[in-house]
Amino acid sequence: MKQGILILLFLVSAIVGRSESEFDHYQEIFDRANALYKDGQTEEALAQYEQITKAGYESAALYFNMGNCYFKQKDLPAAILFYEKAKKINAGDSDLTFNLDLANAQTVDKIEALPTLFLADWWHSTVRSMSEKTWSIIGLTAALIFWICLALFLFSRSTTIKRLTFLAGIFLLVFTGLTMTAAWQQKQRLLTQTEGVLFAPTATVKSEPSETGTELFIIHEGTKVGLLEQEGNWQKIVLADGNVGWVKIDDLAMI
Amino acid sequence: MQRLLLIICLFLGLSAGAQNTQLTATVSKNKIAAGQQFQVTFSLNSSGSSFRPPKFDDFIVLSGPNQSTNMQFVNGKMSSNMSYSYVLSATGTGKYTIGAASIRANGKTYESKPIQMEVVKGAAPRQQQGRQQAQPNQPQQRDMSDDLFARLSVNKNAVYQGEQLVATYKIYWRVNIVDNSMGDLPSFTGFWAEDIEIPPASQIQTEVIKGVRYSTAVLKKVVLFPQSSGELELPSMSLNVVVRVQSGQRRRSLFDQVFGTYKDMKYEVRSNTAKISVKPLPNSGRPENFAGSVGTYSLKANVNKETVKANEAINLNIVLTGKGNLKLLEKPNIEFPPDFEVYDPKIKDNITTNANGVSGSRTFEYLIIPRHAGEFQLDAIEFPYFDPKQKKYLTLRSDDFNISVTKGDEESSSSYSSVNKEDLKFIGKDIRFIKTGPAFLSEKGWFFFGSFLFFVLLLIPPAAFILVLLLRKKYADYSSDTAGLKRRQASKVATKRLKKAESFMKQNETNAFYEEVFRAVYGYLGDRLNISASELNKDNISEQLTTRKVPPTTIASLINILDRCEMARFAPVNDISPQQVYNETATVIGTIEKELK
Repeated sequence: MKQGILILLFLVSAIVGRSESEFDHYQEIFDRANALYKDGQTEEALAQYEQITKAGYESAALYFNMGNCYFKQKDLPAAILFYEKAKKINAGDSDLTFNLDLANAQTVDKIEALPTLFLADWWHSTVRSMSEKTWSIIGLTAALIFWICLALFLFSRSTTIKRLTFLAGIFLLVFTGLTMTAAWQQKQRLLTQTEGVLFAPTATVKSEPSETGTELFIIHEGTKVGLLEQEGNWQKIVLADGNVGWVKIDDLAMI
Repeated sequence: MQRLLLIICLFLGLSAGAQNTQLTATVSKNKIAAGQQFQVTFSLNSSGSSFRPPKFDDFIVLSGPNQSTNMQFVNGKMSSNMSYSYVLSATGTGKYTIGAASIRANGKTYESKPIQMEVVKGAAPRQQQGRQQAQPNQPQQRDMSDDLFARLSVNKNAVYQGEQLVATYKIYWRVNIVDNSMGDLPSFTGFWAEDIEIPPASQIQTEVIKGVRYSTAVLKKVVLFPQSSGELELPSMSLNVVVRVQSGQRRRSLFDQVFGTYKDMKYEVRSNTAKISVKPLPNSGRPENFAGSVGTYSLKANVNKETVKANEAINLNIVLTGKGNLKLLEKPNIEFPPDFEVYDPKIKDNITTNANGVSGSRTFEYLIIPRHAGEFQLDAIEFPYFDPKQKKYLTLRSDDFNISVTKGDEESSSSYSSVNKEDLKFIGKDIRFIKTGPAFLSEKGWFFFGSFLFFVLLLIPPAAFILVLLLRKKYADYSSDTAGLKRRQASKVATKRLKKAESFMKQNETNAFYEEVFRAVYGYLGDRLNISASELNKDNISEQLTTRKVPPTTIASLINILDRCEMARFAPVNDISPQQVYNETATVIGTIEKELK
């Protein structure tokens, strides 16, 4: 029995991969960068943050801080890009929402979002309010409680406990399913790039993926667009108001 | 080359000077009745000598030559005039020619043009006039068409649609005009008309038509641009004039004889009409963006700067110069990048309308404000037009303009970006501070969901649950087997009872001792052999034990013990001590236990 636990621990550490000390190292860099930011040295801070991202690490806090650096440097599209990256990992942060709204208020294009179905809207905002890890942990906890309820339901002789655990069990089963779906959706969202930010000062949106296409409308830097399909150097985009067209890929940065 | 040019200039100057001097022959009438008098005048606008008149073979010279000379000094310049006049009359009818006269002036010989005369039979018109009682202010029936008429002339009779032509209305007269007023003004339907202003100084000129000298004045001169194709008619123009004519009545008084008698008569002078055939513009080779400009043009376009900051103005000037209907020129169709704010162009005209038509230039001044940074290209400005001389479409093209817009000043751009109500809450606010503390870093592309650890944690609870389920089942099986339990605990229970019996024995309570031993043995056997208390008796016990192959001696000693216990309950037992019974019972139970295993 003891041997089994040891093997499990070994496996877990092998999967998580990095040693604790490496995390500590990057946490140190993070703290150093934060201190630089506090002194107003946003450029140096940004260089430190970039060390972390180049090493293959990310977190909502890291992207949020990088967004702040770009905002202070008045690089609006980059600021929006990093806020959106942070939002992709964890949308439930009120500071993030505030800063992103502030940055968006300074962009040129004011695009009215299409009204969405209330239920779908509610579901999406709920899913995005927590990270994939948080959802997974909640789901696992719910699953654990479900099994306990099932055990109590089967073994208890008291009808009150049986009744209670039966109801709780059904609820927990549904809840586990929903949280796992949320975690899965968050993971899929992070795996696929479905949104981008316009980096070019202005971009003409064409009706087809070529220079000769009719000019449909103009968008300006910092505008968030949804990504549809690609065709050579051209990216089909959809705006929040539902307008669809083609822009050059180089003009965009993927979130 | 320069010498050649000089010679050409000298020659042109000479010929220009020579043009001034000419000998003109005029007649008072070129249509006369036989026997009627008329006057021929040869006049030279310079001084000359050795005048040689033509031979008047077909006419009778009634008087002449009457010579007159005229000299004038105007602004220090001298001009002289000479004229020789003859009064002639024709004898026969028919067509005759008055030959050319010649004169020498400035070392050159000038000749007049011959004049055609027509002599008809019949009374002279003058005598006819005399009989008529003409009233002033009453339109005269008298034929004045030779002395007073108006003409419409055009410089071209066949034009393309949109090509300009000049129409001139002129009045010719050789009578005394007292008063005039405009009659019908022509309306040029189907044309775009542009009046040419006539300088008042050059209003009245003289012109010789068929040898008759007329005073002329331009009534109207207009540049016309036909707007539709086909046969178009230029309407006539009329002028009401009052003419003072010599009265044909006999002079009745001395006063009349001295000053003459005259009458004022009203005439309507009407010009002819003219037909213009307008060809439609050819369809072949017509550029797509052709807007109907006809003429000859040149195009010039420039921008004042090609590198600007956002929100700074650029001027784009387009100058179209040429001959044609410049006033109808539309602004050229320019595709501006959609991000440019473009105002309607300011149009500056420098257009002159004269006898040669409409010419000049039209300037379009565009004010362009690029609102955002970037590299932009203004495509070449195209101006297509039809050249009626070359009879084909031509397109003028300017260069492309590459305009690079750099980022403008923050202030000016923020003044442009409209802040709506929703954004107002952000005015004067700053972003919130960065996140400090743990960064919660994780590897990019590593997800807890779906990882091995995740599945392990997901599967531990059900695994634990199943384990519990299995253990519980084992326990339930175990506890549900009561007979087995009793059997397993039989010797333990028996030993307990025997111990109790022992304690009774030590207290010398023999009855209780036997009672307890009896119970211990019975209880043990009941539990061990799984026989219920009601069926428990000696026979049953011995039978059971026999089948389980317990040796008969052991069974016998057991029965013996049970008998003794039964007896001891009713009567005191003396042959054997309780200690012996106790020992024997323990031995028997031990033996049975061994045997039954």
